[in-house]
Formats: sequence, C-alpha cells, structure tokens
Amino acid sequence: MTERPASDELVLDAAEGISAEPITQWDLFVTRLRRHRLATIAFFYMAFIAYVALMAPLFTCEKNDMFCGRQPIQMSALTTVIMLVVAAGTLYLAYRSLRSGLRGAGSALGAVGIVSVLFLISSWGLLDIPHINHYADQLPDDSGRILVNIAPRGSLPLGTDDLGRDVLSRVIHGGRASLAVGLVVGSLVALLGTVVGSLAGYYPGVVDQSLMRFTDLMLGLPLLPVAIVVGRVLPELRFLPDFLKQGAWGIAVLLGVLVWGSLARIVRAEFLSLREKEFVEAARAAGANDRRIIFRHILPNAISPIIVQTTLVVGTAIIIEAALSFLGFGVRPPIPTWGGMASSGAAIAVRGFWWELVFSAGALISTVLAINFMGDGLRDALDPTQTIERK
Amino acid sequence: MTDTVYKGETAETGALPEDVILRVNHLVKEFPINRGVFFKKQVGAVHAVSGVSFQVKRGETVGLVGESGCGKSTTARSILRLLEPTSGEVWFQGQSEDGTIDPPVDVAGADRETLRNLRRELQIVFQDPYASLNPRMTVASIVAEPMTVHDIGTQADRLERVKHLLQVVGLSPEHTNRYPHEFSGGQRQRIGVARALALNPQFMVLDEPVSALDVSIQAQVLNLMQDLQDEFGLTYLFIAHDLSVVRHISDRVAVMYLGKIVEMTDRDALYDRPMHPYTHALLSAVPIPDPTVESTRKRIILEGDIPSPSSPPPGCRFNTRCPKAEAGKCDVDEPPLQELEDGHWVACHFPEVVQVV
Amino acid sequence: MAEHLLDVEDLRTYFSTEEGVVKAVDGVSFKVQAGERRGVVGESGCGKSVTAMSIMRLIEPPAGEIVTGTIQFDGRDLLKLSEAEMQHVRGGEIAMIFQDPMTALNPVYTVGDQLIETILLHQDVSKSEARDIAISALNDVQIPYAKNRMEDYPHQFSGGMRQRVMIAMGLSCEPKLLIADEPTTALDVTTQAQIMSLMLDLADERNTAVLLITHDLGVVAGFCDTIQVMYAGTIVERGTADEIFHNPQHPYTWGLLGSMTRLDETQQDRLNSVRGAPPSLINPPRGCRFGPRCDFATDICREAVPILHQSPEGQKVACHRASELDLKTLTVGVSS
Repeated sequence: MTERPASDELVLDAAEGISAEPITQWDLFVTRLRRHRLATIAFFYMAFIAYVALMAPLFTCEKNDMFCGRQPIQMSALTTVIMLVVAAGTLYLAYRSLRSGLRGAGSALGAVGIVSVLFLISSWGLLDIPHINHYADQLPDDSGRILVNIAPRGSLPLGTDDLGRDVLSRVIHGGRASLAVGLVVGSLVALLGTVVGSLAGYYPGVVDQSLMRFTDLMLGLPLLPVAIVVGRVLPELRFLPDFLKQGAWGIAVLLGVLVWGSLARIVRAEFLSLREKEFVEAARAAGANDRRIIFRHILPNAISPIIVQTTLVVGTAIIIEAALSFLGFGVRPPIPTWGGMASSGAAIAVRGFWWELVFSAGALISTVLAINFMGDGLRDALDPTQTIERK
Repeated sequence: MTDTVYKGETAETGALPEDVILRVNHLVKEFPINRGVFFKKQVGAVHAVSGVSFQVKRGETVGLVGESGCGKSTTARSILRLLEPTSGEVWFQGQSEDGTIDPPVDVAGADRETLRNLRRELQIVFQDPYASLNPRMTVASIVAEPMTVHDIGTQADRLERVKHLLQVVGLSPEHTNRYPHEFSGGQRQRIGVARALALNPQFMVLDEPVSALDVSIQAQVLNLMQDLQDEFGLTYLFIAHDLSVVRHISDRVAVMYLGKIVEMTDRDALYDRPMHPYTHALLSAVPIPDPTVESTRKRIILEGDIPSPSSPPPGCRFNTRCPKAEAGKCDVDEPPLQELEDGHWVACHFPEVVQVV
Repeated sequence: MAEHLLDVEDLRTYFSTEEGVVKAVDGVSFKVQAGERRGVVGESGCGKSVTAMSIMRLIEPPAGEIVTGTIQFDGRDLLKLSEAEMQHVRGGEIAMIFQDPMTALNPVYTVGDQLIETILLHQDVSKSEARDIAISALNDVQIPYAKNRMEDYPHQFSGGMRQRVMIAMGLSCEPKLLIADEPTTALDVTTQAQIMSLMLDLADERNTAVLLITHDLGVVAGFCDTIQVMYAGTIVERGTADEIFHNPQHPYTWGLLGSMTRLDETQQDRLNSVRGAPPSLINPPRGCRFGPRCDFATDICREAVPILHQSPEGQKVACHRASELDLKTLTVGVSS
C-alpha cells in the first residue's frame, strides 16, 4: 500500500490554527449578540420586566391584610418549587457562564438567582422585602379618604389613578397581560407558521398550493377589525372556559391564530431554498427519509428567520392587544393592562393628571422597542453569512 | 434508437459479465417545462439526458466529461436515483463479502426497500465542499449519518467508525466535535469523502470533487481518492469538466455533448487518437501549462454557443457547431454510438482520428 | 527606453475583520510596460484580486484600506488622486473585467444602454456617436447582429457572450491597461478558448497592456509574456513565461507546476502534491510565508522574510535558498 503523508497534514492542521476548543454555532451567536449593544440592553431589560411581572403577585398585599409585610406569604407548593428551580437554575448557569468568561451573562444570571433566593427567603418571613399594593385596591389615606389622582410621591412612586389605585402596582400587573400575549402569540405563531410553512415548502404541488392559499386567506383578514369583533364578543361565548374569557389569555390566543401567516411565508421560502442544498441531497443519498431531512437538516438551518420573525410578530401583537384594550374590546377592567390604563389615563390627562398615561404608555413603548431591538440583534447574530470562513 | 451492443453479448440484460458492476441502458432524463399555476400544462422539456448507455467494470474509474449543459451531472444523479429517470435502466451488479457476484438489480426501477439497501452500495461525493455539509451538524454526525439512517451499530460503534474514517481520509480523529465552518475547503471535501465511505460502498460517483479546490489541494485529494480506490476496491464514476484531471485518474473516458455520449474509449485512446470532432475541439481548447507547447498548438475554435437543451438541434446535436458537418446528412440523421475500434465508441457520420494533444 | 506604464511600489492592503487584521497584500512591487501581457497567478487567498482592486482603488474603507505604497500609472500616483479624478481613470485609462459576467452587468438595463453609458462617461461625444462606437465595439468582440443585440438584456446572452460584452465595454474607451480578474473561470473550456483568443487579438491590435489575474496556469501559458506568482500576499517569483514554466526557482512555483495534471501527459501513479494549505493572513508565519509547506525550509527560512531578488537564471525570486537549489534536477515531492 502506498505511503500516505497523513502525519504532515495533522501537524499542519494544528499549525493552521484549528482552535483548541470547538467553536460551536452557539459561541458565535453569543459573541455576535453581545456585540450588538442595543440588543443586549434590550434583552436584559426584557428579562427584568418579565421577571418582575411574573413574581409580582407573590408580593402584592390586599388592603385588608393587616399583616402585610410582616408575615410569610402563602405560596403554593407549586410556586415554591418553581422558585427553587429558578433560583438553583439561574445560579448554576451564572456559575457556568462566569467560568467560560461570559461576564455579562454570568452577572445577569447571578443577579436573577440572588434575587430569587431573596424572594424565597422573604416569602418565608425571614426578610423584609417591600411589598406592593394590590392593583384593585382603592387606597385610603389616614383619615379614610380615597387617595384619588395623587401625583407621584414617596410610597406611591407612580401616583394613583382616578379610582385611587396604585399606578405602580397596576403597571407591574399590566405587564402580565403583555407577557401572556407575548408568550402565547409567540408560541402559536412559531408553531402554526413553522408547520404550515415547512409542509408547503417541502411538498410542492397540491400541498403547497392549498396551504399557501389558506395562508393568503389568513393574511388577507383585516387584523384589527376582526380582533375587535371577536374581542367584543369574547366574554359572551359561553362554551369557552373562564380563564380564556377573562384576562389576556383569550385575546392572546385570538391574536396568535390570526398573525402566523407572515411566518409561514418566510418558512416556506426557507424550505424551498434549503431543499435544494447539496447537504440535503447528500442526506438523501445516504438514505434519509423525508422526516429526517425536514427535522434534522432543514429545520435547524431555518431557525434564525423563525426566531427573528416570531420576535417581531410578538412586538406587534403586544401593541394590538394594547390597542384593543384601549378601545375597550380587549381585557376588561378591573384587570389592568397597559392599553386600558392608557385609555383611562388619557381621559384624565387633560386635567393635568399625567402619570397614569405616561407610565403605562411608557411601559408599552419601551417594551415593544426592546423586543424590536432584540429581534434586530438576533437577526444579526444568527446571520450565517458572517461565520468564520476558511479557504 | 439503436442498442449499444457489447462485444460477445446479445442485447439482453439477463446476466451481465462478472466483471461489470454497472450497466446503464438508454437512460433518459427530461425536465418538463410547465406553464400555469393550478392546472399545469407541459409546454416543453429540457432534454438533459437523451439515451445514455455505457458500462463500468468493477474496480475501474470511468471519467465522464463534457461542458455545462451536457448532462453529465444529471446522468450521475439519475444513476443514483437522486433524480427520477424518465426512462431507461441502471443495472447494478454488486459483489458480496465472500466474493460471489450478486444478481443484477435495476436501480431505476427498484422499490423503496430495495433502493434503501442499494444506497449502501452506491455513494456520491459532491462538488461543493461548502454546500455539501450541513453547517449545523458536527463532523461526527455528518460522517455517521449514513450509518444512523440505516440503523447500524450503536452510537458508540458509530463514533468509533467515524474516528477511523477521519483518519483514513487524512484528518485528525479528535475533530469529531467540530463544525464544517472550522475547516478549509480541502478538509471539508475529505469529510465528504469520509461520509461517502461510511457504509463501505462498492461504487462511488465523484461529481467534480476537486473543481472547487485550489490546484495544490486538488493533487492531495486526487491522491487520496486513488489510495482509497486501491485500499477498498472501489469503482468510480468521475464526473469532471477538466480534461487534464480526467486523464490522470481515469481508465476509460466518455465525452458527453448535449445529453448524449459522443465518444467513449480507453483513456489513452481518447487523448492520443480521438475521433469525434467535438472531442477534437474540446481537447484543443484545454490550456496546457507550458508556453512553448501553447504557442505551437493548433487550436480548433468552435463557432457559436452550446444550444439550449430544451431545443436540441435536429440530427446530430453537434452539427450546428461542427466544422465537418454536412448539410443534408448531419442535420437530418442522428449518428448512432458505434464501436468503430476495439472498445472505441463514436457517434459521428464522419469520424476521423486527429492527433490534437 | 521603454517607460513603465504601471509601477507599483510596496503596496500593502489590509482588511479589518472580527478576528484581526487580514494582511491581504503585504509588500507587492512590480512594473508593467505598455503593451505587455502580465499574468498574476496564485491560489485563492494569495492576494491577486486584492492587488487588482487596489490598483483600481475599489477597496472601500473602513473594511479595507491601502495602508502604504505607491501606484504610478502613466506618470501619476493613483493613490494621490481625488475620487473624481480616479473615476476618470477607471474605465477610461484602466479598464477592468471581472469573473462573473452575470453579476457584473446590470440586469435591468439593455446591453446597449450600459455600453453607451460607459462611453459617454469617458469620451466627449454625442449620444448617437456613442451608439456607433458601441456597435463597432460589439462587432470587434465578434457578437453577431451587433446592431440588434444592442437592445437585448444581459440575460438574453450566454455566459461567453456576456463576457465578450464586458470586454467590449472595457475596451470601448481605448484604455492603456486592461485588468482581467479571472475572466474565464466561470466559462466552459471551449468558450474560454474563444475568449482568450479574442483578448489576445484585441490586445495585440491596440497595444493594450493586460494584467491577467487567474489561478489557471494553463491560461497564462497561452496568453502572457511575463508572469508573477503570488503566495500569501507577496510575490514569490516573477519572470518571463518561459523562465517560470521551464525553470522555476521558487519551491512554491516548482511544487505547483509539479502537482498539476497535464493534458498531454499521462502522469505517474501519484501526483506530487504540495502538502498543507495556505497560511492565515492574520497571523502569517514568521519568516518566509511558504516555509511551513516547503520541503527545503531551513532555519533562516523560519526567521527572515526573503526579498524578491534577481536570480542568475533570469527571473526574480523571493527565496533564501534559490541559488543553492537546483530544482530542475529534483522530482517534486522528494526533499533534497
């Protein structure tokens, strides 16, 4: 057998600088994401908002509770477990991040972990953490009069609204509606859009045509009018379970079902082009069946547009939910939502009581901006044309 | 359509001679050109491959050459059924571990199960080292995929084999967790070769495996392919447009033009005694890295461009550009591929040996 | 005494990337005479295209920058010209044609429009005069029915025809220098032969100097008078075609020639390959950049960068050991 100078190759490989550790796509992604400062700030901001909104109900006191702040909070077993997991998980991730030199992520995760532990400890009555007012309580002053339209001061950092309710508490709880919309719409859009788009893109002919015509139909629906109509009748639909009719969940599902069309188109385009790539041909030559090709080969390469588009659609959906609530067709009072608060805040703003409108609208704008920046950052970070290429 | 009759046989495909591993009979691949969105009507077709017949002997390398649009890549993919042939047969006669010859199987007509098993014997190495590897999979997953798909061995077994294969192709077995983008073009091509070898195939299609590589890397990869052929007893169908490379690596060469084979013979016979006018032009057009030779060469420059495969010229497809074409004959009758000399097949009405190189 | 048409002195072009500074062209000097056909050969990443783009000042900061050097063209330093003056030079005195005629031509304008635009930019003629010049340019590159073809769009031409259109555009304003960057790489070999033969005739006729950039040594063998071989951003050897092909002095050139398959020879069993791969341009090897791959490298090769100097054989070579090595007598792949 002829001699093959393989050893030379190996030596040169090392000399050429194939790095000591594998550079995964994740590494590249994180590096590029961090470079995009706006997106990183947006990411942390969103994480903060989401965390506060999620945890808030645990530290909200009803006015009738004389022991507010002086007794352990009754947390259900489930909530305790979740909190423990969150605390442990974030602390562990923080440790790993710091070990691999990701200082930013490490410190952020560490902060979350520490705060979670603090919350846990305080919920057991061992620490004194500030508690916030219940969002539906009409707050009285010492003489018993309701504190209506009080400007921001002291213990009421964002003031009170027309009915004497704490604006800070309402803003925080209003975030939960937007969070719900974000999660539900995000999941629905990602799921429906990907399924429809991938099937349409991979199977040409009748499947493609019929799925896309259906998508065209969905895209052709005028979003706001439809949402308004359905939002108007939502509470009266008897066959729906309660949790869908109240709060933001129903609206979220409604919106999710309406807006997935744009993602389906994008996913279809990705599948159409990826289907022709040589590595797919290679997989077929190796004997892979359709399922394997779709899930193992094409989908992982189509992830970035899916993530980016979903992020952007979520931003839009939050605005639409706010619009619906502003108009009165969305989440019904007394459950707070930023759109609803903006509506009532706008009514009293003319009389000089600016804080409800400003803070609710501010929260809405900053959140959607943050989501958009995150989408920008994700798009840049996931751009495969920026990978390290060697010739 | 005439039959390609091989010496000493009748035109039946009952049993192939033992030394033949692949025989292609009248392979045709046409791509329909459709109009209309919902109710499609076929208004034309791209005649990519129009009746190609040849055979490959066990252990040899057949070079398939031609310019763009000649159908060589389509032929290769149709043989492997990565594209569905429009018509024709592709008989594969493999050999078992113990040396006995298996009965021939028609790849073109095989059912799904048979095809799946055939895929283990027939593999392909692609041209583009950048596009043929999934950028989101590790090298280990890429090379192991053929084994994973056919459910061979445990995960640990497969990893062992991957490491072995990487060594065989001259890469370090420690790089199994790397991603394609961390490697150079030449190295990626080696990964592609490792993948093709994973299931111990008998027959490999090499679709322009070195065209996208630098010259100094080409030589390395070509050497590797030859070493592998010796070591594993592989048979190659080597698709290329670079006639210099084909001369180096092939035992037999077939020249294609616009979907048909115009000349096919032993390697030396093709380069020293070509008979088809297209072969003459092709050989004279290939630049030789030697200024003295270049300045004294006789150049046959063809007129015009390659016709579109959707409307090939009538009669001999080369007649529109052929310096020897005779009106009334060449643009009316299509010349059959005939064995004019021992093993030397030509499709031309006026074949003539011209020493071009 | 022939005056140098193009005199490039110590050109260095660097690109800033995420991973560091890529020294794509790192100290390249050469001269081209009027009417000379110079080949610039090398593999991918050697800097040949970047050299051409630098001459045309098509390197855009902040990504890339010509860090130092002078490019004297017809008496003027191109690097000192203003952008407006440079635009006058581009297309008018120096023309460039690119590898992919598909993307070099604008798909939404007719070929005629694009030709006329170029002519009007550089010559003081009326539109109808420009049209006549354009038609005659298309005739010169042997495009049949030139007058009718003026109204066609690029996609209606084949690859070879599009490249002819590019050549027509390049030569329409009678430039003194034509830079051709891999003009035939994307074409079939028979079309390539047509195009190279055409370029040879046209360049000869008009005494246009040609800088032919390619990785294909066969193409330069048939076209160029002189050749310079580039590796990792530097010129390693320069001489006449005869000197380079029949008596290479640099181990890289020698290795490259030895590893090529030739149409007119049946090679021995294995090709003699140059081991390894081109180096990183961010952290090039210390000393001679070809050192790690060279069969003849010694200590001095690892320490000192070789300078391009005159070899007694006739050509210029950048190798410490050029005078000691008698490469002609060695078989590639066997160390001395």
